[in-house]
Amino acid sequence: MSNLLLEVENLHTLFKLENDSVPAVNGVSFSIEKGEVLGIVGESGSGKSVTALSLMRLIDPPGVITAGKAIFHDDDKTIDLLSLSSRELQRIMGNRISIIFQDATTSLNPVLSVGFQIAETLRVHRGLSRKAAKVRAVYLLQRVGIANAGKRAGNYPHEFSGGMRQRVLIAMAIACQPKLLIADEPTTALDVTIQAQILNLLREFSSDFGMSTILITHDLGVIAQLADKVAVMYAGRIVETGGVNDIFHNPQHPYTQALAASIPRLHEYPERLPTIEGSPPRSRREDFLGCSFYPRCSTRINICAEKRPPLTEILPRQFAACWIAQKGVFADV
Amino acid sequence: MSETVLEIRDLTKNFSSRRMYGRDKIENIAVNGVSFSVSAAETLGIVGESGCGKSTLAMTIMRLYEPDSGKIYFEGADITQLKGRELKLVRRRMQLIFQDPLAAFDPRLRVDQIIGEPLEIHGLGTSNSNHDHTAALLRRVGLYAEDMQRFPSEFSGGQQQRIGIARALALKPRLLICDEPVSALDISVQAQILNLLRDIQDEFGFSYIFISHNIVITAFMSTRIGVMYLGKLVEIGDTELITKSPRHPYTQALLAAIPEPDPSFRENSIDVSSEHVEFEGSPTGCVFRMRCPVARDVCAAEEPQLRTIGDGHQAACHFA
Repeated sequence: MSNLLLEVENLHTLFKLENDSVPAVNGVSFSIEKGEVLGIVGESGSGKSVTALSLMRLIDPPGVITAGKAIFHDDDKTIDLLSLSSRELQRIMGNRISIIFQDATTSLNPVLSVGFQIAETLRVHRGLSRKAAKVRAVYLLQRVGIANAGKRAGNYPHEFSGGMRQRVLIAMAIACQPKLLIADEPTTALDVTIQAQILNLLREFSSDFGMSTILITHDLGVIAQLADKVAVMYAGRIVETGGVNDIFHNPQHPYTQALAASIPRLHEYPERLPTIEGSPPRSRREDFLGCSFYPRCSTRINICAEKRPPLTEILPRQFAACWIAQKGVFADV
Repeated sequence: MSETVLEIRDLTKNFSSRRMYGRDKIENIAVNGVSFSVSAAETLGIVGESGCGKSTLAMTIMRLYEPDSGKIYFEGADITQLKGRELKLVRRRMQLIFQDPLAAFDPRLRVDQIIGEPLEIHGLGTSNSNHDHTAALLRRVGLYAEDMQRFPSEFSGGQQQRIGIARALALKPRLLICDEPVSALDISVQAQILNLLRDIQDEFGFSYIFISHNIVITAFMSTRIGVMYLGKLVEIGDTELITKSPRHPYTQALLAAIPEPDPSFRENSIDVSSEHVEFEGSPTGCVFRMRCPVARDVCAAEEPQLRTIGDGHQAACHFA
């Protein structure tokens, strides 16, 4: 049997504005295996969060998913997340697939105790009794490292610190032992010492019950620490993808290379940091046929402005969408 | 030894509040007896996590908050009590750069007005010379003279921060306090702004206080680093000493918690005590003892004072 959990094919999500439409996700494909952590890295506006929201079917107008498939292999069934009815969606989301966001405060209901909110998930999806669900909720709070969980379950979100609220959210997300956890910037709002604890927790759960994780972040450090596989997004597309060691030690796309070079590192004191000129594109025109990184690329050649490079296998299991990277491999390009 | 631009001694800032319908005042000590000095053309980095008082410290030094006790000396003069015109003269020489430049600009002003405003307030130059000065500043920070007629909201985050830097430079300050200047920026833009901040320092020769929650970025920018925890300065010293041989357990924890951007260093990198204890009110003894892996009885009984443990290296820990 195949070990694949999720296969996303050619996902397109479009935001239709008054006199413009912005293709936030523009033909994204990737797959994730059971127990694997896929890191999606990119700057603001690269489409990484919209990719996650599209998979959860949380895109609201003016956003529309215009094309694509997301095949989810749940135990014995195979389903396309993008064509599910809302009734079927309810059965899957929060149960087989969960999501956690950067801002735990807005994800929690301020007028319900955290214990109730965790128990609610279990009652809806697992049909547990009120009492059994509460016992389980207390156990889950303990499991994510909240001291005195029995008493804390009765507390409201505002009575917790930011790091603890993120733990509560994780407890809720893993309540039904999902097959897939989507974590969208889960530690961005947290202090570094707390971030380290949350990352440990995520790592622990993915190895404990074979949960797969899609980890979305702009922080290369977080990706390097947690991911098995990495997808680098730029302007709505994946520009490079491969194993975490390959991406960090032998990046093929000039954007990945420049991104990795531009972060300051401890114990290295250069006079200046290497930079990428300009800034990430804010809205994308579709009439430009070339590579979307072309205006900022330091190694661009003529073809880059004329024709968009496809994502191509440059090295074994390492794909990049770049004419220069391909040139090294295929002499005829 | 080069000249001292700024010196603060035992600077303390409290925020007091009352519980609803309560009688008792709750004292919240945001900055608690902090002392340090900044030399000419030097960068002092201040790192700490949210709520450690680093931004309050910046605002207090600028006299935007009134200090509760302690002294601030700027260019040799005591400015702790200055008022009115004299304070205005001092502020001309000290400028602030904020995390969110857009929030620091008047959205109805155009770029030339934003950068020219400090000159106008201080009654400097003529409108013609100020126009040229503004154009030169914009070019210096990597924008164009044509941008003068645009509104700040028309720019990207990195460009907005460039405008903020141009405004801070307009009065040729001796000291620039940067409060999380790159935290809201994308990684690729962050490097551009950090380079710009270093270039203009080389060119104009002022001093920085560089405030950030990110110790790696602070290390790149700073000659010395001070580490704050719950309002206290717990360790201070040369960047290399702080990053290579930190002596305070909190500094050690901060460094250990950095997610190394290299998958080869996974095993030992994330290894901080997972017991995160939170307390309310002001504890006795060492501020860090509730989270400290080496805390003993003495830490609860006695508050460790900042003491010299090496060349220009100080730490506030009984065991440092």
